Amino acid sequence: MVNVLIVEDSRISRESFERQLAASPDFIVLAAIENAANAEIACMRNKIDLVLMDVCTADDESGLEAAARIKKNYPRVKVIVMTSMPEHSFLQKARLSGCDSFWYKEYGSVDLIDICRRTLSGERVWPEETPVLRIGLARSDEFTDRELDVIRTIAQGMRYEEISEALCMSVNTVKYHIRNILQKTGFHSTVQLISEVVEKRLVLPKY
Amino acid sequence: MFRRLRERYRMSRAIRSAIDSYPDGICFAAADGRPILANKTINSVCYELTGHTVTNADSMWQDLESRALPREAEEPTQDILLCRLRDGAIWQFQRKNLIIDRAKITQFEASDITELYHYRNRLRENNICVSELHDRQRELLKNIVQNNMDKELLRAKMRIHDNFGRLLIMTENALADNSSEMSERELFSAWENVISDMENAAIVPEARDASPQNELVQVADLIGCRVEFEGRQPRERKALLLLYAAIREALTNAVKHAGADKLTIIIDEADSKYHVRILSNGHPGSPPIREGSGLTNLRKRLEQEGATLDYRYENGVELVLTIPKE
Repeated sequence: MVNVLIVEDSRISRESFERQLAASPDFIVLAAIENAANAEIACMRNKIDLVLMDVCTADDESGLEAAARIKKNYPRVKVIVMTSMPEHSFLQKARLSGCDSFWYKEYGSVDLIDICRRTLSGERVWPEETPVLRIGLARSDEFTDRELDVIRTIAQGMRYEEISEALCMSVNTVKYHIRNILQKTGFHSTVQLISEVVEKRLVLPKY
Repeated sequence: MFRRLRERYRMSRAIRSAIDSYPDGICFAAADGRPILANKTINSVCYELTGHTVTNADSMWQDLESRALPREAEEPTQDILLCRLRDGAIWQFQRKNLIIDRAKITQFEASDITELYHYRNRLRENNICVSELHDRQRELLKNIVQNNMDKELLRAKMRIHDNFGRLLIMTENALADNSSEMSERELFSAWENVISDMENAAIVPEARDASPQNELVQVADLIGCRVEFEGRQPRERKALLLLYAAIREALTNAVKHAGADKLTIIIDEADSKYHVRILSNGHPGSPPIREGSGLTNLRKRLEQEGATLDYRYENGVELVLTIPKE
């Protein structure tokens, strides 16, 4: 039997996952919580075998940070990060923190039970890429990593000088990237750009 | 002698001619305000502004001060004045003190900065716009996660609606035709799921537990530790979240390092602050406490919000917090 912890702040989703797992005889949901900060505590004393971890959880607690702490302190616990946000950095952050699998709740073709079973058998199930979105005239996969970093910092409300410091590049390079981004998207201003990327959830800097 | 006088006269005419051909206005005055040298430009600009040419530099400055444009906050210096002429041109007057041959000389300069002035005003307006845009951007970002949650909720409701519709059709078919592919048992189970989904979705917006207490008690139970509270918990969200961050850290340490199975949180209120003690029944460690990354991060977070973290040793380690209400 596999003991599962669900971390998901949407009650509907949480109970839907619980029901799906309960229908399968090899899973027991020991707890379903909404705040990722409590997940690490639940993993103490070897009670939990598998964590289904949402990224954006209650009280703005980051599921990615909680997942990283769990993988560091309890490496035997399998962690599947799940999200409905196409934020481009989530995949990379989840990989870096040693999570076992990654599941797009809305975009992927993989079924929840399937991904749980495959992860428990040692397979690392990862989507090949983040969902592709249209941002103005551009596709989200047309942006370089550096351009996405710049978009993220603008979305945080940083000024050119602050971006240059945060990303260790000159102000002219920041302006160069912004010019390129605006050219690709066909937008006239960064405000137009940010309202679009934030609306489409391409970047969510808080998590 | 006559030649020297002629030479001096020629020199002074050359200086006069040079200073008059200078495009800006310039005037040098003695300590008592008497003009030593003033060019045509400064005389004509002063005449237009004050009705007379420069007869005394100090009284000219006072006249100009009374006609000057209001000074901006970022222009603290008293020695620069901006004045507008009748044709709309903006002139900047600048006063500087010089010492020449131990004598105090005041230099006055007047420059036409009309174009610069308009650029500066446009820049100032643009900066205000940029600052407003930044604020709006920050606000937008703050709301986006909540919007996304709402969208997720909406999508879940639409899914329930679809399931409900499909199930109705299947039930209708099953009633009309006994050879339906779905058995009675499967139909009942599907109806149960849809009804359960609908019960949850009916809570709009999702009723979130105002206190994080239930969830924390639930996970503590899971690892065999009882959490008990004495006193009233903070009503202010920020104070509440700080308190629970501290409880989580204390719970983790008490269970992991002291083998505790009970954690007690005592909360008092005084002087616009919450005074909190967190104690466990784990085996007492020996002082002093070596702060790991968890406690260090907690201390940083608390201190950023004006709260404090301390320890007390009485039959074990006790975490002592003060958290401001505001």
